[in-house]
Amino acid sequence: MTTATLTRPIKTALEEIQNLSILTGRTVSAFVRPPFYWRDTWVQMDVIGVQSLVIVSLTGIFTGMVLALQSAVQLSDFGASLFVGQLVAASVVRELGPVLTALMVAGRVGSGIAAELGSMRVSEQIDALEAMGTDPIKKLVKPRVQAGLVMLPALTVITDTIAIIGGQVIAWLTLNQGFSTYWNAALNGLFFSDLFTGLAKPFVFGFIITIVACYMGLRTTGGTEGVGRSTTQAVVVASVLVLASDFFLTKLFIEIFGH
Amino acid sequence: MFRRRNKRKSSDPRELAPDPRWQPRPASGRDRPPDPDNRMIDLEDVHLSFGDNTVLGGIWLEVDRGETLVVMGGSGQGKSTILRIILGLLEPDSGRAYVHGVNVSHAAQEVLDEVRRQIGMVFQGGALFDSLTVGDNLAFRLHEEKKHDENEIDDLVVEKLSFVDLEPKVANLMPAELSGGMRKRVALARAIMGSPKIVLYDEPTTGLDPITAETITALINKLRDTQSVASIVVTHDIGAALAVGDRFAMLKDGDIIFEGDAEEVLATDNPDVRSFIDARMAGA
Repeated sequence: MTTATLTRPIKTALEEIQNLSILTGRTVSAFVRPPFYWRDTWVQMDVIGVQSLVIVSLTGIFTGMVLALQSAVQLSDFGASLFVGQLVAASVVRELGPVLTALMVAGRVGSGIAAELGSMRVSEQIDALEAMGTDPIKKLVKPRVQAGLVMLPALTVITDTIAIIGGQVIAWLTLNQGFSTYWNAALNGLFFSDLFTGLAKPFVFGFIITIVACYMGLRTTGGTEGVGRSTTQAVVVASVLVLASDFFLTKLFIEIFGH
Repeated sequence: MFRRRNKRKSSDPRELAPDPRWQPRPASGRDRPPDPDNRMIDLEDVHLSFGDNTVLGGIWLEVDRGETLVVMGGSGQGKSTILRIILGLLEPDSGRAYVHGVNVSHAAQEVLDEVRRQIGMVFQGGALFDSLTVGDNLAFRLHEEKKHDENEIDDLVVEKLSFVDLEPKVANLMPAELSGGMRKRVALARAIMGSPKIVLYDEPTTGLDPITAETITALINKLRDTQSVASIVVTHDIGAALAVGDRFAMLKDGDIIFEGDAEEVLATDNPDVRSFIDARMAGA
């Protein structure tokens, strides 16, 4: 095996990171540079946010229900079933809500963005944009990233709320726990740091999912087969980066808030 | 890949003044001296490689106002690459590409954007925006420029659709609802929306039946004759080439191996040109 064979994957990976960094830098700088395509941003908020409502609602309700089910059994053994609401709320708001919402959106929206931009790339629509003097990053990438930054936190709040409601249903059915008991425990278990963490993470995840999907779409080559490849890569890379960044963000917030 | 051209501090229109190094040379096969006012495109010793693959190995080309240059050659010979260099979508490794004297090879982004507004491009597959109606596709450039009100834009859309022999109601259709020939005509109408001085065609008749192809070549000639645009048509369709071309260049292995007018093309004994023409004629 030659040295070139060994170093080629490393070189390719470094080039990908470099290109993604360039795209990220240009997108962020485009945030403050005209033209602003607010109508496109509005449309993307609908695509990324409103059209993801069903999937994140289902994710939320079942996550909350399964958490309550598991914790009800465990906590009852110790006579601590009153803390079901607290456990569900803390788990969902701090960790499961942001991560699971991001993973679902990465699958639904990340693949859609990569496929759309990939198709535009292979059918020369991106070239046509540039040929008409329009910057594809301002026209295509900026609205999607802006929409992701706004809608991921919004979707996460909805997932969190529905998950806690799902937990209430199970607490009532299995433990005969009343509304006020459950919700007092849930709200008492939440601190400012939890709410801050729970909203800061999806903000970062929204950026990661949309920028990775746009990058994969714009770099598509190889016709329709290439579009399929880009779509898969967008979901895989975005999901892995969400999980990895979640670890580092959690570590950071623990350092900041002390718990 | 995602690098943007260097920005200049201002977008002073004087930056679009011709490059002082620009020295238009006589068009090949022409005795008369070059006229800088009429010279629209000049490629000077353009080289481009992708890795070890040399795509263009020192290209010299020129096109005057009201003239159609046809660039012929087989697949993968770098024909479309020439159009991308003229548009500034690709930067050559060396050499210069001038659009009306402005060097686009090393231009600032603002200059490049301004130059591109003078150029219409008809892509091979049309490259119509799938998510927009035909009308919105045509109006796209004007909406971006923000120099016209909606009524003016609507009138221009109808006018350009009429130029390519399409009914105004086509403006309401989506690109997916168009036939291959209609897509090409809409792509041509979109390319001329800003009344460009230069129109570039990438395989304008590929994939079309002979009658529709004839319609497209007639439109290309109509555009040249009525609006005096300078055109470059990249094609391997020898029939379409002869129907629209004033001058012809044959590209092979990154070099121009032949230049001349229609008579010279048909009479040449250059073996590469001969075999290309004979093969295409036999195929037709």
